[in-house]
Amino acid sequence: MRIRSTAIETGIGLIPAPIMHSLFLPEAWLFDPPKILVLGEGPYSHALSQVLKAAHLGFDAVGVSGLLPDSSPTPLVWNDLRLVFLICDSSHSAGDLLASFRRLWDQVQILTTEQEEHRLAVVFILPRRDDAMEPSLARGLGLSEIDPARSGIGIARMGDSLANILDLASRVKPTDFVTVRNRLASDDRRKALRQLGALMSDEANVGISRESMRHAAAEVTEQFRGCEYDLDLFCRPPRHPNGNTLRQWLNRAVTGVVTPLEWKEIVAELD
Amino acid sequence: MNPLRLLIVEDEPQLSGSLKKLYREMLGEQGFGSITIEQASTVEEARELARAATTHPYDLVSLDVNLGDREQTGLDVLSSLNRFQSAWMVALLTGVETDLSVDETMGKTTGEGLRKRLRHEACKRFPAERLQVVEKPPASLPVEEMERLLSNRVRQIALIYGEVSKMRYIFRPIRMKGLARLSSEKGTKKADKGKKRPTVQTSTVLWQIRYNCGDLLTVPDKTGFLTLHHLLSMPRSETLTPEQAMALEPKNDAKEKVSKVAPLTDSDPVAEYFEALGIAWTTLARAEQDKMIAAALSLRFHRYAELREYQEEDDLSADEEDELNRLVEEFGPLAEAAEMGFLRTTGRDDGNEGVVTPGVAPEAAAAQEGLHAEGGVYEKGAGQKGYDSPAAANFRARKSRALKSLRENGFVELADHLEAYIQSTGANWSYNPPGDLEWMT
Repeated sequence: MRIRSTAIETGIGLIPAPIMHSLFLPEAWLFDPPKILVLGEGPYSHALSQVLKAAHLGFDAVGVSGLLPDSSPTPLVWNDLRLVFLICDSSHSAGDLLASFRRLWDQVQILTTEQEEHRLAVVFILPRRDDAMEPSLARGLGLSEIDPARSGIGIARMGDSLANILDLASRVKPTDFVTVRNRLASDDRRKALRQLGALMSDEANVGISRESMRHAAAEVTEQFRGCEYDLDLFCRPPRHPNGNTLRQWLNRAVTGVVTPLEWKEIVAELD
Repeated sequence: MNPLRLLIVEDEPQLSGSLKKLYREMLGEQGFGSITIEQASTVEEARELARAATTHPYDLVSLDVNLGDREQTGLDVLSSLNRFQSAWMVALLTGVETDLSVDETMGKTTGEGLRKRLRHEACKRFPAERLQVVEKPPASLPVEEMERLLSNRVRQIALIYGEVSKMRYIFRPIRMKGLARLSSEKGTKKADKGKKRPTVQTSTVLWQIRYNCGDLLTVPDKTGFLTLHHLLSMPRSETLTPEQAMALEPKNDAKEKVSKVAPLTDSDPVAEYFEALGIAWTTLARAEQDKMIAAALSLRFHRYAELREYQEEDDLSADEEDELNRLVEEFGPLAEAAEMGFLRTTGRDDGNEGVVTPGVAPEAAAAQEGLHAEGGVYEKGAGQKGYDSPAAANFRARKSRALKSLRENGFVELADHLEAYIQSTGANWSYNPPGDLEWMT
């Protein structure tokens, strides 16, 4: 690694000048790195960031999926970041929030020295009257329930008082991306989908249904019994708001015959 | 007796106790007398210890792969140890190698694949030359046999650690051979442009630096490193005079390649340039003239200053030299103004506006920044000043530059160590660290 004297030495590490990167990085961060970040659109997120004197970003400004952590030069302006609030409004689905969550971690790996081991506490602030979102979020995150002390995630509502939100934030035990990734990898639903995807990749040229394929599809169906709509969360954006195609395919895979073309389409759907 | 800091990561309490006793015995046989042993039984605990050990790393970590965690394994601990550079060597204890039930349940081929995949994964996460992958004796063996095998394996780990740890500190030049593709010549026919450009063999001297748990193959700034290398490889009883040190260093040819600036004639080309733009140049104050020049040069001046800085440090690549010459041509009549601006911003000018140490002759002050033949000034003690010979001033400047380069490349600990233990007796230089720090140079 060659760090030239183009770098400007500051208290937060060497910063290249000029910054040639597609990340959105407010210039103020170079001199005052954020410790708290509010992600979201709308007046609530702006107000919260002002009250907490936190940095603010819209969802579109977060994440550069596909960019490897070793891309350089990049200023490491998130080394002090410890707490992130993700503000969900009524137009967002659980899938949107999870996609933003994933992009947040992509960006953490780029903008911190510790990369995937950088620890962060994340608090989702959901709309007041949406009881279905919390369990969906939990399933998408590979959790049976969201326990702030163990999962690194907290859930609050827009109607909660600032004191309660901050109290919740203080109880969230920060975790790193290694923990998040391993938790997702060991999630039974994801395992079932991975098994199905692996089989489909091997059997894509076969024009008849196979017992192993049927069994894998049945396993996925069983894992999502009672929460079929959560399959949306496991579909690749931007298809994640609507996983109907996947559900129809699963139904036919379990009960009938599927064609190779349909198999290939479904592989592209899965995240 | 050498001290040693050991971490044992094992979830089975009985095995953990056996390992503690065996490591103490076997490492003692290797000459490590003062052994501090810490233990962890879960992945989270081990990762916390890895994070905390970044400033005081473990010499050896005995790490079990399977730690009874559903989501994480010892491989995640291995990644953390590498990320925080908190372990010099890791002995990864696996049960897959000799666990016959793996072959029984998954088939021999799959079992073999699993073993290979485990080794491959481990080597991706930690430097292979400091990683030992060792089989644990299977639990199905009789107790005595298991203890005998475990004892042999720990002895093997201790022996390898003893040998490899001698290479813990390396500071040496190595020659790397490679291939470079020649740039296409001007006037190349269109039909020939699609053809592959010829290649030429290259040979480059790089620096291999390993200090404690940090590894680096190359550092760009060579000037000063030859001297450091010579100091580190000398016997402790010998010293190096500054003149001998400067004789080792390559001649600074780059300093002779000055910018191609046309000398000022009676007619000021800068004034002519701005007058041609309709600006009454001669009526402007000096500060306003500087602003006009800066605006005209704009972002290109920033790049010019960068390249000139590299040129001063003898660290300019061929492409960058071409770029610098191109910039000088583009600047045209403003080239000398750009050079004066660079000298002013870096305090290298001899004029009144430069950064000059108060109470020191201008020539001596100019010598503080870089390589100058006129001699330098250094702080002898509080409030006192001493005077270096020209060679000593050069030596001091090169040493500072080499240490700065190490710090910029993340070797802060090494730079601090060298700064503390490269000492001057006034006329000579020596390297005198405490303890048994051995360099492989």
